Amino acid sequence: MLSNFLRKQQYNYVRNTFAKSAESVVKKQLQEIRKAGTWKAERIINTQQSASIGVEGTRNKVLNFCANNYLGLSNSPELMEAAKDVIDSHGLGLSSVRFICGTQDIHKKLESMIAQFHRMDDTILYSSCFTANGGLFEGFVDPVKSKVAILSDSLNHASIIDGIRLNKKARRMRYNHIDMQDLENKLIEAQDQDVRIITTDGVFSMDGDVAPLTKICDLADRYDSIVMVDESHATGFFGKTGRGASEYCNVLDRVDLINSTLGKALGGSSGGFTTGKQCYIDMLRQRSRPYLFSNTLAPAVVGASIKVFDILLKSTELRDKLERNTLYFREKMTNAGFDILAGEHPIIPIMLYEGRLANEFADEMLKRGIYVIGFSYPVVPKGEARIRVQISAGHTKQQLDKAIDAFIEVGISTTTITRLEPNGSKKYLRFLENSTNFYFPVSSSGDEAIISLYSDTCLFDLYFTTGMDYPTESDDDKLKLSKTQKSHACLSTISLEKKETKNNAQIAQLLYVTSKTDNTTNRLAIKVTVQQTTNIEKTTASLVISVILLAICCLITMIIIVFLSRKGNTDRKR
Amino acid sequence: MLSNFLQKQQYNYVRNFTSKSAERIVKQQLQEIRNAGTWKAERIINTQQSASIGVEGTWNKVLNFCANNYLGLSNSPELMQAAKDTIDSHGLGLSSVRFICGTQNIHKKLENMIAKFHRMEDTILYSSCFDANGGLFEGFVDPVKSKVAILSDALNHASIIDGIRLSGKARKMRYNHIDMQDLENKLIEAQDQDVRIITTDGVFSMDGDVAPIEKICDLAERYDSVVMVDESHATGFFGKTGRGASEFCNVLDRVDIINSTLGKALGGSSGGFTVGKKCYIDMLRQRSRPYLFSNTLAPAVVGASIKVFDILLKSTELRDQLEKNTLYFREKMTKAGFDILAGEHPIIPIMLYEGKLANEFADEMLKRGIYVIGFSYPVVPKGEARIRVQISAGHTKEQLDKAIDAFVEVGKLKGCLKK
Repeated sequence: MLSNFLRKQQYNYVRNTFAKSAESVVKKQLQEIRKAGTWKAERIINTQQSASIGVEGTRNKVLNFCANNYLGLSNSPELMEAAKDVIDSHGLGLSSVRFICGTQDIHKKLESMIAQFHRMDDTILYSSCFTANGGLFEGFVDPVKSKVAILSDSLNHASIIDGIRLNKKARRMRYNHIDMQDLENKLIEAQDQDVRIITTDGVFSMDGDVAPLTKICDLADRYDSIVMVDESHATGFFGKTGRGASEYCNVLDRVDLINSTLGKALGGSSGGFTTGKQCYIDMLRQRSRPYLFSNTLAPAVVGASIKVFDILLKSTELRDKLERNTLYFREKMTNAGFDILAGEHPIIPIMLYEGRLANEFADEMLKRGIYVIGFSYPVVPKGEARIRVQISAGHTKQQLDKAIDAFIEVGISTTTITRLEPNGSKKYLRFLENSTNFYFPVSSSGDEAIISLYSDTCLFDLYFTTGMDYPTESDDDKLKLSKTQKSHACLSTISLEKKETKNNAQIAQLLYVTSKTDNTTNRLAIKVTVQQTTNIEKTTASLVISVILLAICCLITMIIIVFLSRKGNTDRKR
Repeated sequence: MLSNFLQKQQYNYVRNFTSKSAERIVKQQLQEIRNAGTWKAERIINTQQSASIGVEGTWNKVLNFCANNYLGLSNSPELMQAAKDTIDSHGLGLSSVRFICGTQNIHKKLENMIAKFHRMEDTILYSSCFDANGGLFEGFVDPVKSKVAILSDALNHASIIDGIRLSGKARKMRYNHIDMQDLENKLIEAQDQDVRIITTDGVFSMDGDVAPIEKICDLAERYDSVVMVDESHATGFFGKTGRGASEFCNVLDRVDIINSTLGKALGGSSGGFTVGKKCYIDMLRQRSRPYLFSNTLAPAVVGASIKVFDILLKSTELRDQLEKNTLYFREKMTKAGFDILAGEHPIIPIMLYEGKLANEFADEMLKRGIYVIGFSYPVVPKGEARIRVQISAGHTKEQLDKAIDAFVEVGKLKGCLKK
C-alpha cells in the first residue's frame, strides 16, 4: 500500500517535471487565444432544443435563433416516439461496423427512402455528414489506379476540406467562391486527369448564399466531370419540395452525388449520408474508410430518420411555414434598416462588420431574451463580422416580432455601425430614437453623402445644417431634406462641407432628426454612404480640359508650320 | 410540360454521354474488387444486437461472435430505458455544434463521469472515436506555431492514421509494431521538435495484443513526450476494473490522453471521447475541427452512456463475467488444437493463414449457427488470414460450448487442427 502510494507520488513528480514541454506549449497557446478574443465559451442548455430554450445563467427562457433546427423537429413528439419504438424493437446499439454485423433491416430501409427522396439509385449512411465528406474523396475512386482531380469552392465547409486533404494522391484544386470563370479554367487545366469531381456546398453556411449549380452542371457536362453537392443546410426545407439547393436550381437530376446530414433539419440527433448513382455508392461501401472502420448508425437515429422522410415525402407543410417565416423576418429587418445579405435562405446574416460590436450586440440580445451568436474573424473575413440568424419553422410570428424588436432596440443602444466599402467609400448605419443628433466624419469637402432612411413607426423630418448647433426656426442654413411618411428607403443625396470647430476638430455637418408624432416608440435608422466622387470628377474634368487645350495648341502649331512652309515655297518660287 | 420533358431528355442524353468517364472507371474498379475476391457483402440482421441474432437468409437464430458487444450491453433493457427517458427529458437532437447551442447539462455530466472513471481532469465528446482521433492530432497544439512530432505504431487503427494525415505541418513518424527500440530511436530523432506525442492502440484489433504501455511511458518521460492511447477495444472491460489497457499495464496515471469509444462495449449506439489533462481538453475545445464543425452528441446516447458509467463505477460484475468467458474459450480452443495468438483479451484470432480457407471456414460455421467473419489480405498481412472471434459477457457457457464444438467439427473437416 505504502509502496504503491510512494511510487505514485514519485511518478506524479516525474510526470509533472517531464511532461512540462507539451503542457507549457499548450497553456501558452491557450493564453494567446484568450488574448486574441477568439475564445469560445459554451453555454449550457437545460431544456430540449426548441424555438424557446432554457439557458443556465438566465432566469427566463430565451428564444433560440442560432440552431440548425430549421423544421423545428429536434423535439418533435412524433419523432421522439419513433426513436423510442425503434429502441424497443431494434435495441440500443450495434457495436459493429456495417459490413460485419452492423446492418439491420431498418438501415436498408432508410437508405432506400433517402435515395427515393433524392431520386438517386442508392445511399450510404454515416455517423455524420462530417464523416460522409471525410470518406467520399478518398473512397469513391481508387486514386492509386486513376488520376483524380478535385475542384473545390474556396468557401466550402471544413469537413469537405478535410475530406480532400485525406486524398493525398489526387490533384487538389480550389476555385474562387462561386466564380464560374475560374472553375472553367481549372476544369480545362484538369483535363489530363482520368476523373474530375467538382464539389461545393449547396448553401454556404456563413452567408446563406446558394451555389450556382445550374452553371456548375453545365460546365461539368461540357468538361466531363462529376458534381458533388453538400446539402447540409438545404435538405428537407430548401427548394420547392425541400429536396435541397439542387432542386432550387432545378438540377436535381443532373447532380451525381449529394452529401447531407440528418443532424440539422431532419431531427438533429445525428447521422449523415451520401446518395448517388449505384456504382459510386457500391464503391464507397467497399472503400470508404469511415464506413469500414467506424460504428454503424444507432437504431434510434435510423428509426427517427425513417419517420422524418415519411413526413417529408407526404407533405411540404413544415417547409412552407419556414419559407413564410423567413420572408417575414427578412422583410421586416430590411425595412428596419439592417444590412442583410440578400437571399431566400433561412440563414440570415445581420452584418455588423466589426468583431467586438458583433459580440457585444449578441450579449445585449441575450439580455433581451434572444439567443444569437456573433461571428467574427477568423470564422468570417476581417471587417465582415455579423450575427447569423437561423429561422425555424418552429418560430411563431410573436417570437419573430420579439426578436426583430430586440434587434432594433439593441441597434439603438449601440454605437454607429460602420463599414469601409470595397470601393473606398464609407458607410454608417445608425439607429435613432426621436430627436437625436447624428454626426458623421468627412475626410474632405466636396464628398457626397447618400442618405437612406428607414422607419415604419413614425413620421419624421430630416434636417441638415452647416453648423454645430441645433437648427432653429429662423436658421437660414437649415435645409430640410425630406419629409417622409411611414415608409422606408427614402434616398437623398447631398454635398458635404467640412467645418472647423473651436478646438479645430473637423467634423461633418449635422444631421438632425425630429419626429412629428408623439409616438414614444419612434424608431428610425439612417444609413449614410460617404463617397469621394467630386475629386474624381474634378480630376477628370481638368484632365479633359488639358487634353483639349493640348489638342488646340497642336492644331495651332501645325497651322503655323503649314503657313510658314507655304510662304517659304512662294518666296523660293519668286 | 412538353418542353420540360424534352429538356430533361436532352440533358439525360448529354449526361449519359459525358459523365461516362468517372462512371466507367468506377465500374471497372468495382469489377476488379470482385475479381480479387475482396468484395465485402453485408448481411442484414433483423433482431436486436445480442449474443444470439437473426440473420436474413438463415432459418434459425445464430450465435454472434464478431460484434464489439463485449459487455453485452447493446440491448440492455436498463440502458434502453435510460435512452428513452433522456429522449423524453432532453429531446431527440440538438441540431447544433457544441459551442453554439449544443451543450446540455447531460453533456457536462457525462464528461465529468468519464473523466472521473479515467482519473483524468476533463473530457471532450465526439460523435465517434473515429472523429476523436481525426480531431486530436491537428487540434491539441497548433502545428503552425510549434513544431510537433507524432510517433505512431505501424499497426495503429485507420482512424489514427487519418487523424495524423490531417495534422498538416507536424512531423509524422512511424515506429515498428510495439518495437520499443525503434520508438526510442525515433524519439531521439524528434528531439528538435517542440512537442512530441506517441500514439498507440491500447489493444490492437486484429491480433488482440496489448501495447507495452509501461515501456512507452518510461520512454515518454525520458524523452519528454506526451502519450496518447486509443482504448476503443479496452474501455469498460479490460484491466482490473475495466479502465483499459493503461490500467492493465498499471500506468493509468502516467498516460496523458486517452481516446475511446462509447460505440463498442459501452452500449454500442455511438459516441467517442478524448479524456486527459484540462489544458489539452481546453485546447481541443477551441481547435478540434470535428468538435467545432460537427453536430453534438444526441441526448439519447448521452443518457444511455451516463447509465453505463453509473453501472461501471459501481461494480465490475460484467467485466468479470467477460474475463471468465474469455479464459474458458481460450483454454478450450487451445486444447482442441487450434492456433490462437496468446493473450488475455476477448479478441481471439483463430489463425488459419490461408485467405480462402478462412472464408470457407466462416461459411461452414454459419451453417452450424455460429456467425464469425474471416479476415484475409489486405486487412491482415498475406499468409496470416484468420477468424477473429470476439467474446461477450452476454455469451452463456452453453453458447460458448456450441461455438467450440462447431469450430472443432469444421476444423476436423478442413484439417486445420494440430495433432
